[in-house]
Formats: sequence, structure tokens, C-alpha cells
Amino acid sequence: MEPTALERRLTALADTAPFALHYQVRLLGPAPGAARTAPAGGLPTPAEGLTLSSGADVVVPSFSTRKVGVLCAALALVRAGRLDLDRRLTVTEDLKDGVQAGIMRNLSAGIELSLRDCLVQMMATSDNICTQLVFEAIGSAVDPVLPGTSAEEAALQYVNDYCAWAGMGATWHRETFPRTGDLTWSHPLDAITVTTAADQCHLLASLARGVSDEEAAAALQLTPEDCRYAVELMRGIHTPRLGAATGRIGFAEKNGRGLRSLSQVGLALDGDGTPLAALAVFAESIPTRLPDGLPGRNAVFEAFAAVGLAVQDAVSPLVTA
Amino acid sequence: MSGHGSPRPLGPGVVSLQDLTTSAPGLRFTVRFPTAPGNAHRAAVAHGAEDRHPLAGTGKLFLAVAVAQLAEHASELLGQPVTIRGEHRAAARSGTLRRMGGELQLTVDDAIALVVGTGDAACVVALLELLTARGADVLGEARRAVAGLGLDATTLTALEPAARGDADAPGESWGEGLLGTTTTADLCTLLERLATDGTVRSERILGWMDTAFEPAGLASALPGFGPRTIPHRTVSGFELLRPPGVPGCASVLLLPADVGTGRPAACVAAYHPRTRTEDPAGSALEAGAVLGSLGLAAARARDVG
Repeated sequence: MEPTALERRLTALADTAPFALHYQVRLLGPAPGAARTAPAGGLPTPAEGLTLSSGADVVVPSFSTRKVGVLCAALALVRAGRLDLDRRLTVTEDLKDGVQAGIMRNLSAGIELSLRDCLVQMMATSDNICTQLVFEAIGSAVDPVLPGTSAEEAALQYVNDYCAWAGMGATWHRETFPRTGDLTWSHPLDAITVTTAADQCHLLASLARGVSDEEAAAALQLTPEDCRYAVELMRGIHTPRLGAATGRIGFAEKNGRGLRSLSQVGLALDGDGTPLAALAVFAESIPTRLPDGLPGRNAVFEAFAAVGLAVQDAVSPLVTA
Repeated sequence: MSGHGSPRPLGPGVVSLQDLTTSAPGLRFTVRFPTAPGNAHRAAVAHGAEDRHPLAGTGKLFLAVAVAQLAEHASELLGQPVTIRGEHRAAARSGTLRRMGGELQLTVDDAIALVVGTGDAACVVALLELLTARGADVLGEARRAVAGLGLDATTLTALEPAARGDADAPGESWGEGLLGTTTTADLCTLLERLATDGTVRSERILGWMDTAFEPAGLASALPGFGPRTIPHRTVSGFELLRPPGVPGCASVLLLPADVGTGRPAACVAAYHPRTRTEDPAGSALEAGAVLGSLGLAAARARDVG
């Protein structure tokens, strides 16, 4: 079979990038009962359901891409009536210790936030104080499997259980708050949360189906309304990368950042917010700088933007006269 | 710009300051290396430094100057509570607090830090409402500060529409607070004053600039990896927003002197016209790439002299 244009572009990106690029891109079919418009401009589009992967089963540090799973796990508890989005949580001084992501670390201790607002900041600015508060809320809502387990351990295990239920077989949450600042560039994987591009793409594709399919949403212990809410929170990201250069489609996305790792996972959305593709891209072994002196991270951001453009051209081809 | 195989620039590249005077159409900038004791001198580089341009992202810096100046006369001001409510979020077009729900109580210090560090427009509206209610003339204060600093080419014309308190025309905020025009030379002079005058006011402003979250513009390609980047101060610019009717985007960057290595401080101010109006996303990315290249060039120039 001839490779699609999307496949060619992704392969070229991975082959030429000065870092390892693990990805999975899954093109989504139309919602049940929805009319599918013909490809614009007469151009062939890749087959719906097509999945393109490279190194997608390689276990990689998740860093903050794991927060999509944490978000879904928390919303499942809300849907089950065990958590309230209006629950008030307090930013304390000790929660700031070691935090490098987000905006709450620079604000006065004592600020009160609802769980809903903690979820907003966890997804928009990847705020790790808010993420700790989300875990705190989860810990208050779940029963430990064994006696003597702390609320934090119980929360972590619940999120791990949830990811397993969701079919993420290689995702292990090992901490409620990763102290990225304490890591070295060559840190080992065995003490931090890990995942794969395939796992993240699977969760996002499940979420996308759940937006309009009650059964698919129920598989995540959510409703379509919950799935739409989760996607909406991902659209508010402060640091869009996949959607940095696209104009015809948008992205609901979440970033991850480590010392030698950058990742971006998300859903490509049409103008109505309908998911068109799920994708997870993990850049690994990123050099601190390229031979010409450019910081390696900037080459990665460029690659993420290029992936977004390639997906755009696949799911929403440019109409030319 | 680098491109790295892309058909158009999606990211910054490695160029010299001199090259940027010719390779980036429309870019205006000023780079100075204020000489500090024990540090090597570097020659300033400028291009279109005296050309006036909209504040376009740097209004929040002048708002910070005004707030810091007001705090000099009212020491309790920065600890005063500011409540972010629905009407503030509704008028906001930038920042992340607009996406949140119920009321949120911050201090003035927190709110102005979020304005400088994240371009939060809900904070701008709430902050200006509070200051006006306290009888402060923020525009007048900012103008007095500009005059006092000798920024003769800077003209502050108005508060953002959302901050004018007009019930019939509520307006919007793009996280700027103040509207007007300036030059990269004036912006650079402001940075130099902040870096060198040692006043409480300047230290406060530098502290707010220290909190810039995932900054775009000049700070977007500084050396570093992961969450680690060389020490710098800037203002928020991630979204490189362009409010309707305001062309281009401006950015500022202050690199403190590094006594250990002898690197001098660097003050950088730039304005990019963002001319590709038919492609807003590409235009923002291109402007970000050019500004990032300039910031990196300034950082590297400290090393090579």
C-alpha cells in the first residue's frame, strides 16, 4: 500500500529530528449518525481509523501528559458522586516546595480554589500545586485497598487502577508530584511516572468517542458531557504546540516537560469542536543544544508544530481553486 | 531562521545581532549591555530604535511601573485583597483566570504578578477597578512615571476599554492595562533603569518579571533545557496576542549580569510588525521565531563580545 502524505511527513520528521520521536496518530471516524462531508478540494484523505505509529510502545516518561488520565479519573469520581467540583481546596506554603510548573507557586499561600478551578489550572498551565490538590481530593474520595495506606498512596493507586481500566497497560503513576527540578538529564525511568505514546493516544481516542457516544463514555466511567468538559479544559492550554501554526483546525492538547523529554498529546478538532484525530508525540533524548547553538527544546517545539500542520493537511485539506 | 526542514519558519534560529538588522523585515530592536563593575563592555546594537510602535504587549510593564509607584505612597497597597469575579473574566481575552469559575481572592501583589507573568486580563480589569475605587489615577501615575524616567518617545493614551468603567461600553482587556506608543529605545532605557537604579520600586517590578510563565517572544529560545533556563526577566507574551486594530507585538528581556563568568547584563527590547495578516497563526509563530532568535543572539553576544 502507498504511504499516505501524512505518513510520509511524519516519517520524515522522525527520521531527521535530532532527537528520538515516538508518536501515534489515529484518525477518527465520524460520530455515530453524523453526516460525513466529502474531502474538500477533491484531495484524497487518509482512511478513517488509520493509525500511524513510530516507537509508540516504547516506555517513556509521561511528565505532565499524565494529567489527561488524572483529569478523567477525577471526573469519574465526580460522576460517581464521590467528589464535588465545588469542593474548596487551599493552596498552602508546603505545596509550593519544589514546584516549577504553573502559576500558583508565585501567589500568596492561603488562596482557596474549587476542585473545578484546580482542574482548569492543572490542564491550562500544568499547575503542579493544583495537581497536588486534585490528588488530595481524590485521596479523600477513595478507599484504600489495604489498611494503613495513606490517602496519597490511595489516590495514586486509584489513578493507576483507572488507567488500567481505561486500557492503558503501560502507564504507571509513581508520584503525585514529580520533582523534575531534582532530576539530572540522564535520570533513570524507574522512579517517575511512565507511559507510551500508544497508551496516551488510546485514552484520547476513547475520550473523543465518548464526546458523542454514551457507551464509549461509560467505558471511561464518564458521560458525553464529562468527555466534552475534559476536551474543553484541554482547549484552554496556555502553551499550545500542536496547534501553534494551524488555522483550519484546532487542538485540545496537553504538554509534558522533563529534562531530556518534551511531549504533546491532544485531539485535532474541526470548527465545531468535533474530534478528527487523536495524537501523542513524545520527544526523547533531546540534546540541550544543537551543534549550531540552538536549544534542543526549540527544535522539538518546531517538530510539534510541524506534526500539527501535517495532521491538519490530512484531516482538513486546503481547498484550492 | 532555522526552519529545520519545515517549508516556513516554525521556530527560532541562530543568527548574530548584526544579521538581524537585515534578515528580519520590519523588526525593530535595541540591545544594550549596561556595564557593571567587573564586567566586560559590549557594544550596543540597534535597528529602528527610535521608530514609534504600539505598546503591543508591553503595556503591562508600564502598568507594573504605575502600580509599583502607587505602592511607594501607600505601603499597604500590595497586600490589599482583589476579588476576581465573573464580570472581570467576561471582559478578559487573555490569561487563564478567565477560564475559572467562582470568585477568587488574590492580593494586589498577586494580581499584578499574574498580569506581568501571564498577561492575565481578568486581573487587569479587577486591579484597575480596585485602584480606581481607591481614588488612584493609574493613567496619570503611569504618565508621571514615564516622564520621570525620561522616556520622551513614549505616549500613554488610555486605559484599556474594559478598565474605563463605562457601563454602556464594557469593552475588553488583552492583559495590557494601558494603551499607547513607545520605541524600543525607550523600552530598553526602562529596562536599564530597572536593572541598575536599585530602588524598591525597581526591585518589585523585577520580581514580577521574574515570574513570567512560559514566556514567548525574546525569552522563548534562551539557553537551557527542561525547566532550566539562564536567569532572565521578561513579561508574558506566550500568546503574542494582537488585539483588534493593534498591529505587531513587542517584547522585552533583561539578562542579569553573571559575575562568575564576567558576562555583562543585557537589556533587549523589540517590536515585530507581524505583517502576515492573512495567516494569524503563522504570523504569530513567525514573530515568535524572530524574537526568540534575537533573544538568543543577545545572550550569545554576551559571551563573544
